[in-house]
Amino acid sequence: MPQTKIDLYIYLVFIAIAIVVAVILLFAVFLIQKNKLVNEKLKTQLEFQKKLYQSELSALRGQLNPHFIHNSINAIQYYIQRNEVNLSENYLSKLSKLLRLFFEYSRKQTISLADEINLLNNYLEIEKMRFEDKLNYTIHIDKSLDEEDIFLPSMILQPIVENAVNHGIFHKKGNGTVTIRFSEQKNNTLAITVEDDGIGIDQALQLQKNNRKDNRVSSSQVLKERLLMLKESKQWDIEYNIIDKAEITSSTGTLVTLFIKNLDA
Amino acid sequence: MTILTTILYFWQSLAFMVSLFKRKANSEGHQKYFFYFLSFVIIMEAFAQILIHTGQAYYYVYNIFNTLSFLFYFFWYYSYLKNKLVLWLALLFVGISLPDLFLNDFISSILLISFFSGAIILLTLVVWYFVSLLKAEEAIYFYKIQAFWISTGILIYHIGVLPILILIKLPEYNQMHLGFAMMVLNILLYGLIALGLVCPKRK
Repeated sequence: MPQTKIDLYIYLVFIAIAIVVAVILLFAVFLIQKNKLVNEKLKTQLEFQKKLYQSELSALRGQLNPHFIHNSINAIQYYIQRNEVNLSENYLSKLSKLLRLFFEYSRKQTISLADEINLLNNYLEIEKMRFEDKLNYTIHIDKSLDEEDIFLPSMILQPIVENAVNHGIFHKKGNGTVTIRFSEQKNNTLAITVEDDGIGIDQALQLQKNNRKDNRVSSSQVLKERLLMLKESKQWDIEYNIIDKAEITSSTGTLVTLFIKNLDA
Repeated sequence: MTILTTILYFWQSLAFMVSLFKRKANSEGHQKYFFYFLSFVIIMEAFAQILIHTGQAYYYVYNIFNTLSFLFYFFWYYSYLKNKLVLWLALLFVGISLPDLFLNDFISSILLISFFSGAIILLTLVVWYFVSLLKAEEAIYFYKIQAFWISTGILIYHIGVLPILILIKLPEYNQMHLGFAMMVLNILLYGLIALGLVCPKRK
């Protein structure tokens, strides 16, 4: 059988190919692993960020409580000072119920619209007592909204309503009304307006400058920080607007508009 | 000295110079041993060249060089892998090399059994190191790891040199071709060792 001779350089070419293949394989494996590790690291960082946001949100929710408790206890103190036992008992009972709701909802990331309305009703009832009927309020809910099925970040409206009462109506001479509206917008967006016919945000800010003890700054700051956190958590798309009604109408007061969309839904 | 030997010596010297200049920077890592190893490479190569040019037997120089090089690499990988199996493999290499030393002509031929066993064990350690690196978080910055580049050089060199040593046995053996191939492999080996030594340490 005749034997075919293979030139030496053919072998060398094969060796060169083997080396090139080995190097390509080596780098391919390392690059794939690198991408995998980078993705895993990013995922871990994202999870961590998410947890961080959640813990910061919880902390911010916790910060809202002292303002409210401070005002409520002041109101009870006011009744006691006036020796109105029945009223103070009634106030205390309502406050106790509200605080229970308050702390229950504070622990939750989200609450149903029905729970939020329940909380606002309870809160405004107490404030109505404190303002001795100087305060009126109405809550309008679109019929198309399923209150039990719509969820929103917990404790987000209470500080806005609290601002409307304590800084809008409180400084107003005469009766004041807070109107809260819930309506459904396009793309599963919930629109909420909190309107008061108080002195308006511009004047309230002016008063606040003169009174350093006013807690509006911290309360509004806490709210802003919380809204920012919610946005950065990528779970919510929230648009927040606040305007002084005097700028657009002939009446006074403040109009807060919130558009909330759950991005996870 | 042929042109191929000159190029080879140039690359070995380059790697040595890099290890010399980076000696302080690498003084605390596992690569600190490379300065001594590359000094040894330069001395052995110079000694071999003297023997070649004076017409004396020189293969024993390469046999000593190969054996000590393998032992150095095994020790270096042991410092990374921290596994006693590496020491057992080194012992196995010595166990295979010793009979080869007595049974074959140590002075005027390359101890092929010793070289093959050393190269296969070394390639195993290279793969082992790469696998352990892949499992570590450090793999994200593999291109900044000194040992990665040095191991790549060792891998390329030994993948190439093993079949070349078989080709030497062929009747159509062409010293020029093989010399060229060995030069390329050496350039890659010492070039990648030099690259590894200048590679910035990840902070």
